[in-house]
Amino acid sequence: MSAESAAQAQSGMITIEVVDNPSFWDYAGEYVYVGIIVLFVGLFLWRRWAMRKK
Amino acid sequence: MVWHKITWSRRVVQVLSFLFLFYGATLLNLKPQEIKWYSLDGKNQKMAELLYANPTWTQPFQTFLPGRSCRFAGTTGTFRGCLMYFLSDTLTWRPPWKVILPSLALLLGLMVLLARFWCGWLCPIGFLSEMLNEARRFTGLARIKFPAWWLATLKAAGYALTAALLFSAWAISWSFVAWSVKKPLYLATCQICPSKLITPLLTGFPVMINLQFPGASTALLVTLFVLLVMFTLLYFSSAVMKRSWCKLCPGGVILSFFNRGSFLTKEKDALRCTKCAICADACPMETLAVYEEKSRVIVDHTQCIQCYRCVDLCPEKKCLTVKFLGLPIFKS
Repeated sequence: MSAESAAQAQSGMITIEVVDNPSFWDYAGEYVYVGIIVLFVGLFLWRRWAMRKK
Repeated sequence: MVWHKITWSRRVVQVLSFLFLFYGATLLNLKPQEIKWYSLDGKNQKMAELLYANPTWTQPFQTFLPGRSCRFAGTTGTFRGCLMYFLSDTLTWRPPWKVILPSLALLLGLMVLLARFWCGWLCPIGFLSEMLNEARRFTGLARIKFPAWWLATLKAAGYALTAALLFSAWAISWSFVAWSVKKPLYLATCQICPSKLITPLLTGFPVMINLQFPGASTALLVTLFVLLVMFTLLYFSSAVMKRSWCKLCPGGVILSFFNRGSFLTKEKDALRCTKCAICADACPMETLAVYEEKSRVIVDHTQCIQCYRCVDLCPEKKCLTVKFLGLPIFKS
């Protein structure tokens, strides 16, 4: 958290989270994990469908 | 002595998994994970916010793996937090997405890849249950076979129990529910799980067996305690009946939904089957799915724990095959 947002937090103002030196995960974390979840659910449903008569 | 390679491989994996999940931190000299105690009483209701303060996207991988070991393993174990613990905790505390998403991705990945492989090869509680049965065989005691109606009852009870536990985990987050009800129901799955008694004793942390909840509803406490005793007795009945607790285990119930559709499949060539019934007798979950199937190729059943004992013992060549993504890995 930057000095500015820390001061805002102390004064009770609305705080905006500021990440110093954002990493790849800060930018794309939720997209990566939601993507993995959708991929696995999709694979599972596809396999269930593919083996429905087997 | 007949060499059953799958069974022996499984035993080796089970022993390693048991040692790793129960004593891994001690054996590998890992830094013990910090145990954060928090409860749902008025004083500590904000603890969840502290617990999940400043989460990172990779934090769940550093603290626990969902679907792995028991949180009551003290500081000797690794990767605290089983599947039911993760689901109950998430429904109760509603942690930030930064905590839920990585855990859920890992959990779904493992379930789609392996389904109940965890039960048959990795679960330390299941392994101990099998060791109890091995002790019976060693002492020459007769095995008690579950009648079909009892197996069906246990299966139905498993679904009902899982639904009730997940509902209670969600319900105690409602603001109008009294604290006296919330307190004993927090981690309700753990309160009635035999692992809550067995794991702390085996890892040398009997202090983790906490049965006291000051200010809690007596009726609810007694109910949970009776259930805990009943399920622990059911667990120890594995000494005379195969994997008795596993037939009811809520974690197994969740994993069972993924048995048909996971990357691991068990296939049967019905033309090669001679109906010798060795597979039916060998199955630790006492299912007849493999034995009875006549038309379907894929014989994965919700109760199958992927131990492949049926494949190992089947005398007919290539009658049963285990495949991972269509590639054969074990054959009878």
